[in-house]
Amino acid sequence: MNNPVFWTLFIQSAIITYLCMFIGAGLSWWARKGQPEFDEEE
Amino acid sequence: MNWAILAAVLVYEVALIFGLGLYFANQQKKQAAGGHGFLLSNRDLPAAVVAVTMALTVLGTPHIFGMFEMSWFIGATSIWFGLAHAVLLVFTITTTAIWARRMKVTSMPEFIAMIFGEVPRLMVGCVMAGVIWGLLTLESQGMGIIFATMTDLSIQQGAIIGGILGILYVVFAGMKEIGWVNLVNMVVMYIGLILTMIYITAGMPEGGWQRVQSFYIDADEAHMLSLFGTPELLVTFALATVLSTVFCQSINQQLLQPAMAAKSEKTIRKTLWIAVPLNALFGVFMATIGLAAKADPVAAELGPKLAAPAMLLNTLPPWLVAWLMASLLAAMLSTFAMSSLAPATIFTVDVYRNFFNPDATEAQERRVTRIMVVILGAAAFLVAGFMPTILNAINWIFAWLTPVFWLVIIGLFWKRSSLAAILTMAVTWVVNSAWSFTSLPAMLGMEGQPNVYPSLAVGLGLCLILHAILPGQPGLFCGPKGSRITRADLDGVQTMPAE
Repeated sequence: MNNPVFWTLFIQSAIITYLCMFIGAGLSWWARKGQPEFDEEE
Repeated sequence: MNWAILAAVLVYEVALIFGLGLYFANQQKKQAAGGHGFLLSNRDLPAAVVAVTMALTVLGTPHIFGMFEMSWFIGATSIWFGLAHAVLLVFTITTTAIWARRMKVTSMPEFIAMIFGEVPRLMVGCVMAGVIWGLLTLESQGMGIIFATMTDLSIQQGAIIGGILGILYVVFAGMKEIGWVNLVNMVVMYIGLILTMIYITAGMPEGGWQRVQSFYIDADEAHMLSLFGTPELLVTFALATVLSTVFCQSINQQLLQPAMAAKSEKTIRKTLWIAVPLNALFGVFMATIGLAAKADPVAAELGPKLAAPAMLLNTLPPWLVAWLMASLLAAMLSTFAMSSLAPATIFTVDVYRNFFNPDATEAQERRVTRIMVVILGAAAFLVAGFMPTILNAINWIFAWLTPVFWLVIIGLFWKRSSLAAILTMAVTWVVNSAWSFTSLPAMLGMEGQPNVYPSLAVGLGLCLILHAILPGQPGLFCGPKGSRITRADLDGVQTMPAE
């Protein structure tokens, strides 16, 4: 698909989106470190 | 207009909704009584269904018509509307969704009752249900526009057809029906979007996307092609959108109800990797279509609202128009469905069960919820034709929930005072109304500033000051005498008694 406008915006947006996801997942993991598990046994 | 396309769209939606809806309704009948089958799918939803439902719940009319229109004026910077939802979903999935699931609540006002007691619960319940119903009217309006674009129906008539489909999307089997119908619709939607981009590229006049680029560069508007636009746009649009979306939606029942229905906290954490990209990257497709439409001389004559839909109708083959319309309608229907189930849940849990029938059975709750879904949905599509424009309304509606956000954070991790909560909400809501309906912004030299800024500032300031000076109990997630809180501590939490 020869569409430079779409691909430039898509790649830039994907980088920002995944950056947000990794920051969120990292902070969440850091906050949970050493905390008890709240999920019930399945 | 092509009634065959409309018929194809309706056949797809009706077949999917009736097929899955009746299947799950039949399953629920066979299951043992008890639990929250209709409202929370007995808390058994897997990560993929929760993720797609969270992604689609906050992906509706503003993402479609709003972004077509925004891209006309601010170009690719409009994609920040989608990226703001990435931040919202990351924040919600890692914090408020986990906390709501941990407390095993069915509604956010029920959660507020555990933190601050019955009066704040009632205040939040009334306002949150109102806010979500406001969003429901906007979604009805969006569906009305889709039908009006495709046919010679009026927006009002289109809203009625869309509203009936939206009610059917939820009324058979509740949360489980919404979740699984959403999963199918999300797959169909993304295939439709990818095919649309391919066809638009293939169907462009000579020069293709190079011509689109040249159009903006020749008009001295190269910034329209950049995600980062201008520094001014980043501050006035991108940042403002991120703030208003995150602070207002992250404690909203409609976004949190799918998470409350998840199998476990671990399930919710997994949804991060699915929900966020599915929602956030949708905006790139809409903004690119909007940019191409403005550069298309035939479509551009119709102006910012209609250029993109007109270009799609002119460029795509009829079968793909039907596919795309079904996809976009599905995105709106999913938001409509959650936006009708959420206030109906608040009514059932926080009014019906709380005040009138504490021993209500699952069957009684299901009946009350279904009745409320029909009443709220019908009321929304009946007023849809008389509403203000979608983007103007959305900021005002969002601002009402900002004080609740601060109260939840402070009440969980620092201190909780029922009186402080009541005063914070009451004063912030008065300020929000004064900001909209009096000359207060002009008096302060802040004319044109969205409601979210004063609401956020007043809500945070009052919440901190009042909790600092008024007596109260330790935060709900603060363990006794600095120790760590455990599952056993949380299982014993009841409604906070009156002070």
